[in-house]
Amino acid sequence: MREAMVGSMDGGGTTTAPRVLFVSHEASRTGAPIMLWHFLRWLRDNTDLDFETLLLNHGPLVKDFAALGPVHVVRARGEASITYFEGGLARAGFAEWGDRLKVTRVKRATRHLRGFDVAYLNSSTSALALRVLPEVPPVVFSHIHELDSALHYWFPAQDREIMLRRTHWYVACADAVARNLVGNYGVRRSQVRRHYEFIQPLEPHPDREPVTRASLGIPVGAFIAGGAGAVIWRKGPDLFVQAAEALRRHRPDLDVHWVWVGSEDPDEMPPIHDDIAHLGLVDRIHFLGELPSPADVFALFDAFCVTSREDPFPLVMLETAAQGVPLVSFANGGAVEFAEDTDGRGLRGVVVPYLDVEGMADALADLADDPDERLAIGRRGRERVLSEHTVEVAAPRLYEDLLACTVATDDVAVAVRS
Amino acid sequence: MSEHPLASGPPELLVVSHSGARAGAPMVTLEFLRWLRRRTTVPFEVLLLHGGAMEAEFQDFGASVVGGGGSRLWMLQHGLSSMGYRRTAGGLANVRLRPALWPYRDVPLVLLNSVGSLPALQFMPAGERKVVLYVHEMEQGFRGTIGPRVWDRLAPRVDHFVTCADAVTEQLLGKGIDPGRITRHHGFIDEPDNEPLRGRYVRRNLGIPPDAPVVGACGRTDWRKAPEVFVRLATVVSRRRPDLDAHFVWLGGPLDGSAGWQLMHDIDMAGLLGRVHLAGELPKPDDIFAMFDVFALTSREDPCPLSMLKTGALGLPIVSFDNGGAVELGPPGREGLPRVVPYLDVEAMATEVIDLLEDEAARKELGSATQDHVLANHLTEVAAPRLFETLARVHPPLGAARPAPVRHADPDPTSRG
Repeated sequence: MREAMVGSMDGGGTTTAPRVLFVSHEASRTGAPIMLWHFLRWLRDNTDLDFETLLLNHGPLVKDFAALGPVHVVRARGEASITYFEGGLARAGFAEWGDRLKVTRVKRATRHLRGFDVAYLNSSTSALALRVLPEVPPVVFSHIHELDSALHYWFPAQDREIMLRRTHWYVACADAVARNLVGNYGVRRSQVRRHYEFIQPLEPHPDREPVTRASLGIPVGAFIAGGAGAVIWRKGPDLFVQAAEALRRHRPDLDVHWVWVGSEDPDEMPPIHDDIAHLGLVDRIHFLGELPSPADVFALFDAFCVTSREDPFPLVMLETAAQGVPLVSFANGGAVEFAEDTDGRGLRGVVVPYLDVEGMADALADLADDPDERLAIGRRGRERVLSEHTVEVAAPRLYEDLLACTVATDDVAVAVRS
Repeated sequence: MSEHPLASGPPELLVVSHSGARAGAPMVTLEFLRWLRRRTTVPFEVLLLHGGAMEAEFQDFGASVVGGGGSRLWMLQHGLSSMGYRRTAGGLANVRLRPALWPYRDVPLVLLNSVGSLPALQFMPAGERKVVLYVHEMEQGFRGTIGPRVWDRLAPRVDHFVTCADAVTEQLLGKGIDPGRITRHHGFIDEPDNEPLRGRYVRRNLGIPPDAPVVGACGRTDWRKAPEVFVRLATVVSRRRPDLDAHFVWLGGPLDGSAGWQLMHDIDMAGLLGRVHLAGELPKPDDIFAMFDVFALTSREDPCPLSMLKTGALGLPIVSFDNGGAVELGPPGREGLPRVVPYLDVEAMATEVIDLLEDEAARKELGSATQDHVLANHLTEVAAPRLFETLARVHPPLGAARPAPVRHADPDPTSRG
């Protein structure tokens, strides 16, 4: 049955393409929705795949998704207040009520979505779709961008349970993610395909650097250590601040500024600005919030720090590496896989032990002291991104696997049931 | 309204505690209540705004509890507030608190045990009364409990402020409080009471070898007490000196929510499982404190942590960040007894810890000096009378209910007021 439905990359050869429902948990400017959008755009331009998109929450990318094909957005009357109310119920200890309210609301909004052959969930948080769709398509892919603490602690138990029960194929965004699925959740290794994240490299405006630097009040010649991500525990912004303090202590002679790009949610962020003030680093550490086009700021970085406590394969690591910015990371998640020397040409980043803030500070000092090494690491990182992690290179591979797995799904379904 | 066993006549004093949780301010409050019962004839009443692990101990004093540990009304109020319906939440608070405070409308003196108790003032019926507020909070504590708007509205209704550290006094001065309205009384504790056998039992349960040195810490698992920085301390000490075979114990909770698993994540990822131990909240911490070799105070701000006094009373050396109260622990006019390192300088703290673990003589000397100071100045029998005298200055009839002092170490070397 599947073979008859599967289309091909060049649009020829077969007759009926599968009807695919891509599901995104939201339409925000964050990693998983952005990557899905790139993938869909590539599909539209290069295949005849028949797809529609379900967005479980609103967001600034809705119009961008709509430009690629039919889009279904779960909207609610008084949207902001109802989702806030659902979240508030959970925070107040009435999580079950909040969940029921949400399921009822999303069910009503998706009851017309029938007749799809494949559901492709863009992240684990999209598993809600499996609880609300009037019929779950016969083939289900879950693209997992999460490691254990996200899967285990943040993910609603009901969603996790149904995802593990109904998913035929997992796309893991790093080997670390695949290992976690197999080791901790009983997923069969044969069900998992590892596809690293991919990006459309951003090009900074060539003349903007002095302007951007001046707007941040950073003098020419100062070394800039960058960081990025939502200002939440998982991304380690507190450790970023502590690394700044450690580097100042170890190397007071270095003129270093620290720049972090990413949204600040007052409900979730640790009060790091108190630490910054207490340490006397207000003039040195710049938290810029979310930027619509951060490429100009990334271009200023002399090094990019991944201080995350857990981060499977941060897109911003690829975006900065694409600009030749060398990576410094804790030994954690996919950054290790990106940095390691897999082709004998040298490391593509510096990895220090988990929580070794002083080690990270020393690694940055080494990069500041050795511009040649800094440029070399940055160049190798850029080459790696361009050869492995662009939409043009990685999207076709993902599409091929999507087709091949869809064909093989009957076997997997039997194996999963057994 | 409850009857205090020793009370005769109408109550002269109402003591309000923001909660019955096992935390610093409620523990000092309990100590003070025990002393009041033991050493005075003051008729007093006790009101808990929320329940908690020590609720039963407060109820020994006939405490009324507005919101018990599982109060649905309080959860609803908290939920409404977190959902952004603050006005409705405020209305519900009014419904909960106003009737609860009504029976105390004629009590002439109110002691609010912390900034968290201050909101109770707005639900008290108008009347002639004096109000004393015992402030244990620094900047983050202020923001985390009431915020500037409530403070600005209610602080003028406070007649006198008691602070638990000079650092807190400085903060109140910065808020424009007249220095004549402030008296500093450090926190105080009961005499240490530990059973070595139980300490050994806990050590074995945690899987710590009998001779392994233990670095301890204590506090709520929140940003202010910084248990995640304690894990960093463990990584640095263990990496630098694996030969010391040091173990690290954090006493305190909660561990069941995100705070717990976030800590476990750090411990696991840093390869410190079996090396860093989360002991949770225990009713008799002295037994655990006694098995520590060094006490590390990793708090971001902590004006006068009781755990510092308790471990000090047991003769433990203390290392601390420069975070408020640790520098004040010691004879006035001299450098503090704890070894204090710059704020968040984990490497420097690790150096001090390693130094103390290696040098038994230095450890004992520092521990002994700390113990002498704490026993002479921070036991309830010494410090509670000073607090009582301050209350009696605000409301003179109270002084008549107090027999002569039993024991004084020094003529109040700690008080400014």
